[in-house]
Amino acid sequence: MFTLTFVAEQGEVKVATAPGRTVMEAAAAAGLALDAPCGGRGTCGKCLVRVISGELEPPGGEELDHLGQEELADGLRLGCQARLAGPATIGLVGVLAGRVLAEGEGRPAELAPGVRRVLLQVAEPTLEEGRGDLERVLAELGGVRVSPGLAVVRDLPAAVRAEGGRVSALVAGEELVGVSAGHHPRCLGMAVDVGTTTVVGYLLDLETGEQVGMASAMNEQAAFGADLISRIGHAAGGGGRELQQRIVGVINRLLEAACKQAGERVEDVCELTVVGNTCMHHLLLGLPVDNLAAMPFVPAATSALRLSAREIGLAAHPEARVYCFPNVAGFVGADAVAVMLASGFGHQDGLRVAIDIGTNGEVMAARGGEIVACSTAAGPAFEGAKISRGMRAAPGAIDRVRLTPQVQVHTIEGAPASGACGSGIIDAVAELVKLGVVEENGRMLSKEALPAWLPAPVAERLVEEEGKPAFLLAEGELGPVLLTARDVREAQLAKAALAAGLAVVLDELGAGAGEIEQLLLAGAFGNYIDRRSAVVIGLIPDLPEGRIKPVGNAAGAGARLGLLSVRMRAEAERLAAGVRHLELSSRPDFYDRFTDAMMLRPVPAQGQ
Amino acid sequence: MGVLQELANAIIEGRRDAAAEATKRALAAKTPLQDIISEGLIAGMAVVGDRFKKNEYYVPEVLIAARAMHASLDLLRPLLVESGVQPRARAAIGTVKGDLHDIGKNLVAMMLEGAGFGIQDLGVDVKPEQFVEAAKGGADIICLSALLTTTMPAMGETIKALEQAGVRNRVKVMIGGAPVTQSYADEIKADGYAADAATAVDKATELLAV
Repeated sequence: MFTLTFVAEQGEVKVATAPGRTVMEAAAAAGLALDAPCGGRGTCGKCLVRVISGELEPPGGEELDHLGQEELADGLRLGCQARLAGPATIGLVGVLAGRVLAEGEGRPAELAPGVRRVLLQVAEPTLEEGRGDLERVLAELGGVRVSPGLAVVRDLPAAVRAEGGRVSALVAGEELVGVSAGHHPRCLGMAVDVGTTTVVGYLLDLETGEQVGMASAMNEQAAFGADLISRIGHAAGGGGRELQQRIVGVINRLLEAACKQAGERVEDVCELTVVGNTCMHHLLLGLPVDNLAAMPFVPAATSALRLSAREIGLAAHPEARVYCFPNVAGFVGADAVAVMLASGFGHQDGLRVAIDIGTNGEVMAARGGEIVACSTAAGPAFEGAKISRGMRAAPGAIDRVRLTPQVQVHTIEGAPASGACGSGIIDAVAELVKLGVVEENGRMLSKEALPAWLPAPVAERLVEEEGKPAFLLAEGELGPVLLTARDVREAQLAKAALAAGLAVVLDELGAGAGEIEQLLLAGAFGNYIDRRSAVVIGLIPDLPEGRIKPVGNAAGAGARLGLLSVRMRAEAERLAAGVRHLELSSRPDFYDRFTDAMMLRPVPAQGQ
Repeated sequence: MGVLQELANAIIEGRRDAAAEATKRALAAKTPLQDIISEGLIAGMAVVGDRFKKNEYYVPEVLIAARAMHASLDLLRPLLVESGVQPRARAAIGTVKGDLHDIGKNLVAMMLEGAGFGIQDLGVDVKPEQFVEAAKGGADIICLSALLTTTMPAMGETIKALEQAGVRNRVKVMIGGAPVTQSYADEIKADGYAADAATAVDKATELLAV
């Protein structure tokens, strides 16, 4: 027997175990669940864990089927197959925290935060020397520029006297940003990713760089429309303030929740960084959005903005600063810049591509010093919208489908099926294409036209709805969960947009898909999409598995980098300024690319 | 099977090269242009439109069929111009001011062309004045497309511009696009509304009684 240490969401968990046990068995003994859609048979590849230290038995057949050389070198193993040999520390990357993807690809950054807190003992005023309160504070700080805002000076006298001269000064660079009574050493920051659908906040300790809390919530602007155009329409009709208040409210609640979780005070959050697409950015700041929806789709501003939390309405430290990442264009925003930052764009010579498989469908590529980006406006099909039984990733959503060798339909949290979410839709389409039930051109065969060799468990699921073919995914609580012929068409269009966007981006760089060294799948989708299903339908090129990497919430990771280091902010600004933005719809080749990309078949990785 | 049937099939099946090849053979055999168009192109696209209406064909098949049709038309066009063959009617089509979505608009243009209409494709972000010019230039029907609720108002503006220029009665106006509805068409006093490319052909034909 020996001790195995798991690094999980909630911290370190230790368990006594014996050699020969699988990681999954040990995790179960420790009360930790690994995601295991295939039930631990080694067929789905989803129960990934990371060996942080210690040795395990070498990987066997199933593991080698799922993990490439790079991944193994990175310490990744399949929890259900990997067997323990002795004491070890295992990171549980496979444990999906709710369905909001918070973890993103880590990139080491030297700590150089934008603000710091300095504890001062301010000298008592005397009749003789008569220095003002501000001047006595500045004297303690030494070398700090005199340009405090009015609010700082206004609050300063009371703060200096409240606790006998003990104050905490908030300094940003060489500027005095705030003074509060008492010694409060805590200097926290929050990195916020304002997604169209989900908002995530990461609470970081700015002195150590550690993440101490995290909270996420649905973007409540969705009440006025799931997609950007609807929200822009609402804003244009006078609803701009309402939209702004909603998102500010959500972020304030995230601040409270994350601080509560970490046992910290909201007043100690001294700086925030914000990323989001251009529309989200504008709505949060109360900027007009009408021009985003009409040609030439011009944002109010693309530069990085340095603002105060107060003027936006964010409730943190009264003088907290907010750094908004730069945007690139009307539909390629600060979040795309953050993805590029977190993915180290511009630091490698080889071709690197990042795709955000969501409604906006940004595609970004970098090679040497060249960076190109576009928005494919793929539409919300992959987020469940426009699909007859589509739904967001929530308990009961079908997120995994396999039709061979057996029919396996997995729902989130194993709850009774109530619909299908993006990854489930992509899986279903891919499996049906593999079996020929859906032709390459996207047409679903009717029952009469099915080939005789189709296994009965699959054939019997082909039904009809309103006279058109449909495939029964599961008997749900609220009725059968079907994938209709029309649903396949919607998925086909969304996939065509993304694939065509990638093709145009590669054309622009004069590169073939085979030259892609790393294809990063970003966004909530990236981690949940089955890479093989995505390749089967031609959503991504047929690259060797090791070159396709899900990077989770890379936008959030970029926001964190910017929070921890002002040098990262400068890099983000350089990146944004250097991106060549492509407006797909004005390119003559997009049309042809789009038509070609409609076909549901693998895209060969040519030009290797 | 006759060469014109082959041409129609090549279009229905979206086979670009086969369509071009059948067209060349038809021309070599001195088949009258009008026949190539009606029994090859129009017949082929009619089947495509029919299947589209029945949801057997969807956007991909229509786009692919249209590519094949264009392969044929490209070969016929210079000869058409020379011979003075008239289309059954002329349509000026564009995506309205501020909007640049064109795939739907292109589909309608293709289907209309495939049905024998002469097409003047004004492109995207088309200002009302440009539609007025097209009306003055002999268009029988003006087709307006918009994909965003925020750009739809340009349709009403275009109709007003046609009225102000005194050409509103010379043309029919048909509108379409994802957010567009029959009631919106009624509101701005358009002559017709079509929900998709296939019904657009039916509607245009009905409005012009051609």
